[in-house]
Amino acid sequence: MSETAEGTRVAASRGQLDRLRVNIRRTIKGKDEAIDQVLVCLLAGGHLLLEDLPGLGKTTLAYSLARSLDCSFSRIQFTSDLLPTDVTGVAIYDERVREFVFKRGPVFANIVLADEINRATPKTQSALLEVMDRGRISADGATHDLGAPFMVFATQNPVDYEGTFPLPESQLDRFLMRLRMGYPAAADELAILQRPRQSYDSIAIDPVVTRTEVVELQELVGRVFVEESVLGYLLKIVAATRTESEFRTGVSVRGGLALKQAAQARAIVLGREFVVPEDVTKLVVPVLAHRLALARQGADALEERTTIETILRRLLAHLPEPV
Amino acid sequence: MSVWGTYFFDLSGSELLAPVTALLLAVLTWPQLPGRLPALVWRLVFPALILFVAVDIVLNAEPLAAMLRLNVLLIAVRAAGPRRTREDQQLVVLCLFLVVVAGVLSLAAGFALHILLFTGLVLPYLLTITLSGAAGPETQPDGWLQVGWRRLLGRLWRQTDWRVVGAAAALYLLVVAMATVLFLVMPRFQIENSLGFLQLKNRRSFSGFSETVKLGEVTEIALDTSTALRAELSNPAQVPMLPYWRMVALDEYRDGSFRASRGLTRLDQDLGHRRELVGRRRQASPGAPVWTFYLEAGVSRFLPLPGDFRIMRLREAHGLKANRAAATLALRTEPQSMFAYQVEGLDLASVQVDGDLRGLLAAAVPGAVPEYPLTLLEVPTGEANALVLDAIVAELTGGGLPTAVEFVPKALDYLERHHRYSMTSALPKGAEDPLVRWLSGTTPGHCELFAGGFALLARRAGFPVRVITGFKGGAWNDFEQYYMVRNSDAHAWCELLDESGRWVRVDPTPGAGAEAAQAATLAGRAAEVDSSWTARLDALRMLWYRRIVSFDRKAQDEAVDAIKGEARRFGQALIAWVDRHGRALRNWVLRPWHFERIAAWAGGAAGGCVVFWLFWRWRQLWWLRWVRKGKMDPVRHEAGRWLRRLRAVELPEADRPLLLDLLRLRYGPVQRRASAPAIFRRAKRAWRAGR
Repeated sequence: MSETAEGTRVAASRGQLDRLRVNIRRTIKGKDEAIDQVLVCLLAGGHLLLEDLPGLGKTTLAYSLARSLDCSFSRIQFTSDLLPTDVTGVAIYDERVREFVFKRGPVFANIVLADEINRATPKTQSALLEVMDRGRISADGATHDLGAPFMVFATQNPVDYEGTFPLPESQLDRFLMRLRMGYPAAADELAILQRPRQSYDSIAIDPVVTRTEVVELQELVGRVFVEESVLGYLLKIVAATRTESEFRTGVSVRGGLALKQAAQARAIVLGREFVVPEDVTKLVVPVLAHRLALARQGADALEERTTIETILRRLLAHLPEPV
Repeated sequence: MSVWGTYFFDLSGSELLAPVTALLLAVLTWPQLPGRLPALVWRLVFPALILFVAVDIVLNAEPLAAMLRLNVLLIAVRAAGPRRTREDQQLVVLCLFLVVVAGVLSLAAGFALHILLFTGLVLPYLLTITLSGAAGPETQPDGWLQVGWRRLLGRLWRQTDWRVVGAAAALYLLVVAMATVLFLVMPRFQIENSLGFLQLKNRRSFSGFSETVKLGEVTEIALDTSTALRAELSNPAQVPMLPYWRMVALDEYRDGSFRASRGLTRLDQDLGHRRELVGRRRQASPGAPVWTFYLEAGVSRFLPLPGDFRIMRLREAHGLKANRAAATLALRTEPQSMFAYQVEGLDLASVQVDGDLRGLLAAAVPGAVPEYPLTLLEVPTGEANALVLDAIVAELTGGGLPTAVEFVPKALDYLERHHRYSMTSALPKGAEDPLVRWLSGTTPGHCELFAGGFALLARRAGFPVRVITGFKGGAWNDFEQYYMVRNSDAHAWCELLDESGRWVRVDPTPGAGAEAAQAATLAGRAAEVDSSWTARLDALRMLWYRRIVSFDRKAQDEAVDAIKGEARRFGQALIAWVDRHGRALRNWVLRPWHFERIAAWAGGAAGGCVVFWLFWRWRQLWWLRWVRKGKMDPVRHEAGRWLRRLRAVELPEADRPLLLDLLRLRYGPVQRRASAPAIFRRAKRAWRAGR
């Protein structure tokens, strides 16, 4: 196989991605862009932080994606009394074999929905660090692989500070993208209202893509071609965040790599075997915004987030796309 | 309205008024008319305009007039043709330009009204353009095809908020009133002296030297420092000392004005339209320089000449008038652009001899109004005037009858003792003639007062005298080696007819003799060498005149002959080469065609075809690689160019795959570009269709 993704292979992947889209759209109305970005995150092998007000379909989206894939799925409701071992698992003494046996926690799944992640204590949140970064857990001197694919699908409410613990920067950096669902359009909301109310468990959609297919798609992303001028453009964006006086610090190297990977994944999602500058531009805010902090802190998290996004858009407006 | 402004100044363009007005009225009456014309017509209009202007400039050699005519035509095309916001704005700018130029050139009072009306109309127009632009792009581009004035005016009537219109009109009138008050209150300044563009002159705006000169008029011209005349010599070593550039001779004096009398102007001889004129000198001294004069527009129709000449050549045929009695040469009409002429055998020391004039004066019968040549002796009438003049003349002559040689120094001495030189002069009040009042007092005076005063004294003493106006001296421009005579060198002096019938130049202005003496010591160089920045700039203009408006027809003919000769030689050589190789080819074809020869040529032809096919298949890429050597990958560059172009046009849905192909060429892997030329061709077709 050649180093770059073949056009035919990419064309074939369109079918799988279209099936996924159609499946998710059954439960998520009018959020095509958010669905595409979730797919980008899945293909890039990253973790997704869904941040928005309660009741806008974050959990439903995660459920729909998980159910559309023939993969294992688990949901962890993060609360303030949740312990790290409740997430990762715990070694318990087995009387029958007379030794400690590692009992796997809910994180051992292909898709993990970490609901309201900022309600857990920092200690519990940091338990996810190694899992998200390496895809494995070390406990009692043994390492346990999580398998592939592995995707953490975290949701959090940015406004409600009562009883919440903001995610540390190191943890935020491990999320490939941060998305916001936003309110649906009036027509879509009407369609939602006209449907009978469903619980998450009653979301009845069949898996349309197998686990192997997901892994293959993720491998294909690494072979998507990125032309030199596009890489230069990406680098300029990253450099601009480092020289912008309104940011406390710029984007890390991991952030630049994440942007490249996400752009490659977006190319596959849109049926291309190469990245165009638009892929980079469209992903700058979702991939970079949560990795940046303002030099002067805003009044609240929502305002700070909006300011960061505005500055990023201004930087983009000053950097011409390579044509 | 702005087009009709051209009617008020005579720089041509008025001949276009009727057709342009008819066109605009037609378009106003039937707004859908331009849309009925094929698009090709509008595409051809601008090339046709360029052609028109080129022909106009070549035929008329008047760039300013041609520019104005072009402006009128552009307005017509822009106003009549299909327009969007950009064209609307262009129309406003074109009209404004024409209004301003018309005002500046005509200097008419009506200009103020013109610009006020124009501003009042253009402001609502600009407001409409801005509002329609702010409303977004036109959704129905051909909507104006259904425009009906009655319907439009009806809608306007219904929709207009007359309070807003009234408030806007009141605001406008307030601004105009404030501007008027400021204009009246604030001190004036000579804006036309500050801006070069405003120094464009025409017949109405500036008269220069003419047959009538009021006291102070020459001094007024002398306030202008722009260059009036440029004169170059074929041999710069023979630059004369302080030349007097004689232009107009004035014999009659009345009420503070010297003028060429009717009797003198009757002696004007119309020489017809000509390019060459033979002068009074029969022979030129060997090695005498050839003078070339470049007279700026607006100076005068009289040609400055420092003396008699043998032959004069004009750059282009022009109507000429000569006056032998006054020894002047003039054009029938004042030139609107720079006028060039060349003089051979110029005698700077020449003295006009008019032997018959004394006899004519003796035989002339004085009438109620003196006729030429008696005008040469005319002094102000009235007892008071006569008393003053007689007293001064008696003081100068001691009651005797001096010769000219005796009288002139005394008169000059008298003037110098009683009057200082000054550019400004306040004449003493009184009932007498202004010049007599000046002579009787000690008020400082300018050159015209000295010349006029001397003329009256000499005439009263019995010497026929005429006043001459023109330029004196000038500066030597060392950058391009020519005489630069400015309007500030304008001067007036006298010529006195001595006993032997010779017109002797007398310059009564104090300092004239000293300057002449100083110049004479400069061994053939002018008194002043100008090395200033203005002289440097002026030299550029001279360079332009020499190279582009080159007077030297001989040099031009030689150049044309040289080109013709070279072309002929090249043609002959080409014919000989073709003939030689044609024969060789014929001999080669006629040689016997055996198998090996045929096979070799068939193989060669097949190889050639393959090479050609390869070239044809990949020609665009090869060409791009060659032109983009060392720069960005040529295919990526070309794909980027087409992407930029196609983004500017609206592509149909069927052409969407083309965009993906171009994106692949621009950003995709290098190995996937076999079909690049075909994709570029498709892009070209799509772009043309979308445009």
